[in-house]
Amino acid sequence: MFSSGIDAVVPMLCVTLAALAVMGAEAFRARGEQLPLGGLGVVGLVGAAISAVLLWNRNAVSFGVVVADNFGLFVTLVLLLVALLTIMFSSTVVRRDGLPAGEYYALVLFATAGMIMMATANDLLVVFIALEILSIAVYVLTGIRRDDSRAIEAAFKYFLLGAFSSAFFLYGIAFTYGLAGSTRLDRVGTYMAAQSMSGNPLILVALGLLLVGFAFKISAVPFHMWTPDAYEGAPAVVTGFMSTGVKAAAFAAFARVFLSVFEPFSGEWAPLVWLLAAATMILGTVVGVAQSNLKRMLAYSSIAHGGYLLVGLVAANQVGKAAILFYLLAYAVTNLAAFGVIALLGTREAANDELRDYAGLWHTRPALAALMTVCLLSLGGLPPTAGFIGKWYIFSAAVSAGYYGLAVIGVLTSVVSVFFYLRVVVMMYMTDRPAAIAPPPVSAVAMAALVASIAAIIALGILPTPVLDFAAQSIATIF
Amino acid sequence: MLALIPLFPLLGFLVNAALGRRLRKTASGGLACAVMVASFVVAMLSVGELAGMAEGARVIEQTVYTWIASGDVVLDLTFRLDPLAAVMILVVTGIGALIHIYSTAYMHEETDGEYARYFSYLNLFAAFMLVLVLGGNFLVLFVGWEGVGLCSYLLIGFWFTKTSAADAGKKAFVVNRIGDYAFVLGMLFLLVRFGTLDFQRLASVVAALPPEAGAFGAISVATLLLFIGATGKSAQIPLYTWLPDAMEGPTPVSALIHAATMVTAGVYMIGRNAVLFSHAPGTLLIVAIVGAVTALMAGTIGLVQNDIKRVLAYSTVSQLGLMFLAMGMGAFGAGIFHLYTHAFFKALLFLGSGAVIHALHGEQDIRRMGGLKRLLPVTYWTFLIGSLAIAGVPFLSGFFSKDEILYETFAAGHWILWTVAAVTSLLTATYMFRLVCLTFHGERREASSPAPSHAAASHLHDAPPAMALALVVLAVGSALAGYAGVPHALGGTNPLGAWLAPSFRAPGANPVAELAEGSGAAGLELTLMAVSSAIAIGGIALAATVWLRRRQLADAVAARVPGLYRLLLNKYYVDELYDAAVVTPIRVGSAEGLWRGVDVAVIDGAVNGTASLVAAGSGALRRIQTGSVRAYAGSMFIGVVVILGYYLWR
Amino acid sequence: MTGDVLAFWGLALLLVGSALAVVLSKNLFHAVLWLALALTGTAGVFLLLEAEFLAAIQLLLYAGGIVTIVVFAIVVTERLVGERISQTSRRIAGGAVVAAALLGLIVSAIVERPLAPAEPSIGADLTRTIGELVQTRFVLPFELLAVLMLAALMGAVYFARPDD
Repeated sequence: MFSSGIDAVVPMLCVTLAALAVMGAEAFRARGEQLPLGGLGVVGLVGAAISAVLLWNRNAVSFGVVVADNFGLFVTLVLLLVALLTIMFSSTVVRRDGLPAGEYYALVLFATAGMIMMATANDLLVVFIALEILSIAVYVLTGIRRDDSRAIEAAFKYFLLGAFSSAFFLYGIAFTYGLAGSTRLDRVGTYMAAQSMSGNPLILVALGLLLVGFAFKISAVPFHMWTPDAYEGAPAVVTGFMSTGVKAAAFAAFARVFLSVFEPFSGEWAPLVWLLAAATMILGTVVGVAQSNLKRMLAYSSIAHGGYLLVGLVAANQVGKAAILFYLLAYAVTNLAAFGVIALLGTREAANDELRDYAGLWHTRPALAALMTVCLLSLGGLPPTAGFIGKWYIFSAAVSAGYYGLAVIGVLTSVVSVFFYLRVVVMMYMTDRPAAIAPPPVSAVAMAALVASIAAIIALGILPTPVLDFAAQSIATIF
Repeated sequence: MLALIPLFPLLGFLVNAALGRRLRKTASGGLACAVMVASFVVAMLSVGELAGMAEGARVIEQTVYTWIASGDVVLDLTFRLDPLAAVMILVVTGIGALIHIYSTAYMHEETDGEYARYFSYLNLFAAFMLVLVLGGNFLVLFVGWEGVGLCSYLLIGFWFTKTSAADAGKKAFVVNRIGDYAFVLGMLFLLVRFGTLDFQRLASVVAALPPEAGAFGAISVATLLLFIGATGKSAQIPLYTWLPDAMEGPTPVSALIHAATMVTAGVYMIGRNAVLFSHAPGTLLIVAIVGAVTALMAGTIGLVQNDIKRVLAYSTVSQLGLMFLAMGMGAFGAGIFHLYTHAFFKALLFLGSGAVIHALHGEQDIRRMGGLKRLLPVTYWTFLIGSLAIAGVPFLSGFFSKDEILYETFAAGHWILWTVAAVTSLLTATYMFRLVCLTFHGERREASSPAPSHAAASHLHDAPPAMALALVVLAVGSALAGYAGVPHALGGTNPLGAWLAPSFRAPGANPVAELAEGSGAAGLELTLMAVSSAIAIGGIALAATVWLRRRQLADAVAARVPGLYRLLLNKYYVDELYDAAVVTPIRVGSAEGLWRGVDVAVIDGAVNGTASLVAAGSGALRRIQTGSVRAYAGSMFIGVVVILGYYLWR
Repeated sequence: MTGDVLAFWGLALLLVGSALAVVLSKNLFHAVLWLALALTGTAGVFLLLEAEFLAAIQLLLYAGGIVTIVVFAIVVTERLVGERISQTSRRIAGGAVVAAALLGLIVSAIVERPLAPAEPSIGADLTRTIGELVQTRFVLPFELLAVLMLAALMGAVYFARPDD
C-alpha cells in the first residue's frame, strides 16, 4: 500500500533528490574541480518527466494531500520543461558570471520541486508550503549575484513583499479552515458547495484573502509592484525562470482552488477577477511601452500576459480552461527563450540589457537576432506562432462566454503591445551597431536550448491541435 | 498543388534569409525571381484547371491539415482557388514576378548581404499575400493579412538609415495594427455568431438569412469591423495616412505594395465576403461613402504634390477609393475589375518613376525634372501608356474598369457619389498629366538644383534591360488588360464579370439573372462612357495647357487661393491632427501618466545601489525606511482593503 | 468562564500594545524586547485555548530562539556599519487608516456570522496526539517543511559566507 501511496509525489521526489545530489556533489567537490552539476539536474528532471508521463490518466492520490491528476501533470510537464531550458541556458551563464554552481542548480531544482508540489497539491496547507519552498529558492536566486547591488536589492524587496503577501494568503487559509474545518481541497469544496446560498461574509473574506495571495504571485495589478524591480535586478536567466515557472505554478493552484473549491461562488469572484484581468492587461501593456530596459519591458509584458491568463480564468468554459493550459505552455517557452537570449548576450561586467544594446544585433549575431525576433512576434501574438494560437483561444473563449469587454480590451492591448516588441526588432535589424561590443560566445548547449524553444514556438503555432487536445483532456479530469 | 503557390516564395525567403550573406547577387536575385516565376507557372496551371471545370462549380480546395480543433470550432489550414482567387493569384504572382525582375537591376548598388535581405523580404511579402488570397477561411486570411503588414514594415523601412524611411515603416505598421484590431474583433464576432470562419460556410449560413435592411444587426456590426480593418490595409479614410509615407521604401516595393499586393487586400476581402456584405446594406453604404470621399480627397491632394512618388501614392489612395465605391454599390465584379487593371498601370507607373529616379540618381522632385522624354525614351513611352490608362482614355484598360464603376454607381441611383467619382476621374487625368508634363516635357530644370553632380545629360541612361523588360510587359498589360471585361454595351461579353460572378454568390446558389446590363441600359451606359471619355481627355488637355503652355497660370491660381493651396499641399493637415489628437496623448499618457505617475514617482524607488554587500544591505534597509518597499506594501494593503470592501460593503 | 474572558482581554491588550510598540519605538533594540513580549503574549493565548504544547513551542522557539537571533543580528550589523541603527516610522496616519479599515472589515464579517466555536476532541496527551498526526496524516507537509528549511538554510549560508 505504501509503495503505491507515494506515486503522486514521485515527480517532485525525483527533482528533490536531484537537488540533494547536486548539494552533495558540491560539498565533496575538490577546489577548482568542475562538476557537471547541471547534467545531474537534467537527469532528475528527465526522471520526473518520465514518471509524470507514467502517471498519466491514473489520478494517483498520495497522503490525501497530493493528487497527480492530468491537470496537475500537464502543468508539471510544463514546469519540468521550464526547468530543463533554464538549466541549459544557465550552463553558459554560471561559468561566465562565476556563479556558485552547486547552490545555483540546487536552488533551481528546489524551486522546481516546490512548483510541482504547488501544481499538484490538494490541500491548502501543502499549497502554502510549496509556495514558500519555491519562493525562498527564487528569492535567493534573484540575489545570486552577490556582487551586484541591484540584484541584492531586488531580492530583498521581493523577499519582504513576498512575505507580506504570504501573510495574507495564510490568513485566508486560516479563515477557510475555520469555516470548513479542513484544509483539504475536496472537503473544503464539499463545504462550499453546501454553503453556496448561505451568504456567509466570512467565506468572502477567505476567498478575497486567498485571491490576494495568488494575485501577488502571478503579478496581477495592483499586486504587481515587485515584479519590474525583481525581474530587472535578477540575472536574466533567473528572470526567465521565475517569470514562467512561478507564474505557471501559481496559476495552476489558483485555477485549481478557484475553479473547483470556489466554483459555487464564481458569481462572487468572476467580476473581481474580471477587473484584475482588465487592469493587469492595460497597465502591463501601457507602461511597457515606456520602458527602455529590455528586462523591465519584458517584466511589464509578463504582467500583461498574466492578465490574458486571467481572462481565461474568468471565461471558465471548456475552451477557456484548455486555453489557460495552452497559453501557459506557449508563454512559458516563449518568455523563457526571450530571457535566454538576453542572458546569452550579457557579459560578466555588463548585462547589456538596455534597448540600445540591441542596436544592429542582426549584423553581429544574426542567429540570436532571428531567434529573438520569433520570440517577440510570439509574445506579440502574431501568426503563425504559439502566442497567436494562445491569444486566439483565450479571446474566443472570452467572447463565447459573453465577456465581450474583456475580449475587446485583450485584443486592444495585444495590438498595442506589438509596438514595444517591435521596437526591439527595429533596434536589431534597422540600426547600425554604434560601438563594436564584442558579443560573448554562446555554448552549444544554450544554443540547442534556444533553437529547440524556437522550434517549439513555431510548431505550436503551426500544429497546435495535438497539444490543445492534450490540454482539453487534462482539464476535463478535474473541473 | 495550391499550397505550392505560396510555398515557392516562402522557400526563396528561407534560403535567402539563411544563406543570403554568402550568396552573390546573381544567385540571390536569380533565386528570388525564379521562385516567383515558378509560383506564377503553378498559378497558371491551377487556373487552367479551374477554367476547365463547369461554371458554378469552379472551386479547387486543398486542406493541408486541421490547424486548430477544439470543441465545436474546427479551423483548417485550407487553400481554396475560385474565380476571384484566380484573378488575384495571377496578379500577385505575375506582376510580383515582374517587380522582382525589375528589382534585380534597381537594387544593384546594394551590398550582397543587403541585396539578399531585400529579396528575402520581397519573397516573404509575396508568400504572405498568396496565403491571404488563397486562404479558405478568415484565420488563414488573417495569417497573410498580418504577414504582409509585417513585411511592408520591413520593406518600407528597408533604408533605415534614412530616418524618414524608418518612421514611415513604423507608421505603416502602427496604422495597420489599428485596423487589425477591428479586424480581429470582427472575426471573433463572426465566429461566435455563426460558429465558423470558413468563407463558403459563412456565405451559406448568411445567405439563408434576410438582409439586415434598416436594422443594424450582427452582420452589419461584424462587416463594419472587418471594413475598418480594410481601411487600414487598403489605405482609406481614416487610416490612409501610412500609404503616402510608404513611398520611402525602395521604389519597386512601392510598386508591389501599391499595385499587386497589400492595399488590394481590403478590396479583395470584401469581394471574398460579398454575400456577407450584401446582407449588410448599412455597411455597404458606409463603404461606398468612405470610398468616394477618400477618392476625392486623395485626388485633390495629388494635384499639388511635387514628389513624383507621392503623387502616385495619392493616386493609389484615390483609385482604391473608387474600388471601395464599387464594392459599396454591390458591384463587386466592377471593383475587382478595377483592382486588376489598376495593378498593371500602377505597377507600371511606379516602376517608371523608379526608372526616372534611378536615372537621376535619387532625384524625386518633379520641379527639378523636365525634358526627360528624349533622354529616357523607353521610360517615357511606357509611362505615357500607363498615364493614359489610369486617366481613363478610351480603349485602354483603365477606361473599361473605371467606366464600369461609374456606370454601376449611376445605375444604382447614387448620382451624388457618381458626381464625386466623375470629379475624381477628372482630377486623375489632370494630376497624372501634370506629372507627365513636368517630368518628361518642357525644358530640363535639373541644372538649377543645388546638387548637380550628375547633371550632365550624357550620364543619364535609360532603364537597363531587366527594368525595361518589366516596363514593356506592364505597358502591354496596361493597354490590353481591360479587354477581359469589355461591357455588353460595346458589343463585348464582359467575360471577366461572368468569370467572377460565382464567387460573389453563396455556394450552390443560382445565378441571378443579370441581364439588365445587356438590354435597355446600353444607351445610358454609352452616354456615360462618352461623358467620362470627355472628362479624361479634358483633364489631359487642361494639364497640358497649364503645365506646358502657361506655367504661370498654375502659380497664379495657387497665389489666388493660398489657403486652399496650402491646405492641399499639407494634405488637409490630417497627419498633424492625428499627431495632436492621438499620438501625443498616448505617448504622454504612457510615459508621463501611468509609468512615471504611478509606477515610478510614487512607487518605484529607482534601483541604484552601492558596491559592497554590507553597504548594499544597509542601503536596502535604508530604502525600506524611506520609500519604495513600504509604498509597495502600502498599495498592496490598500488592494486587500478594496477587495474585501468590495465584498462586504456592496 | 468570566476568568477566561478577563484573561483573554488582558492578553489581547498586552499583545496589541506590545505589537504597536514594536512598530513605533525608535530604538531597534527596544523594539526587539517589545517583540519578545508580544510573542510571549501569544503563548498566553495558546494557553488559554488549552494548547499547552503550542504555548511551550511558542515560548521556546519564538520568544527564546528567534528574539535571541534578532538581537545578535542587530549587534553584529551595528558593529559592521559602525553606527546605531534606528527605525523611523513615517506615514503612520495613512497606515493606521488602512489597518483600521481592514480590521473593521474583518470584524464586521465575524460579528455578522460568528464562526462555530469548534472544540476538537483532544486526547489525553496533546503532545502525543500532535506527534502522531505529524507522523501520519500530516507526514507529507511535515517532510516538505524539511525541504523548505534546507532551501532557506542554503540561501542564508550563501549570503552569509565570505567570498572565496
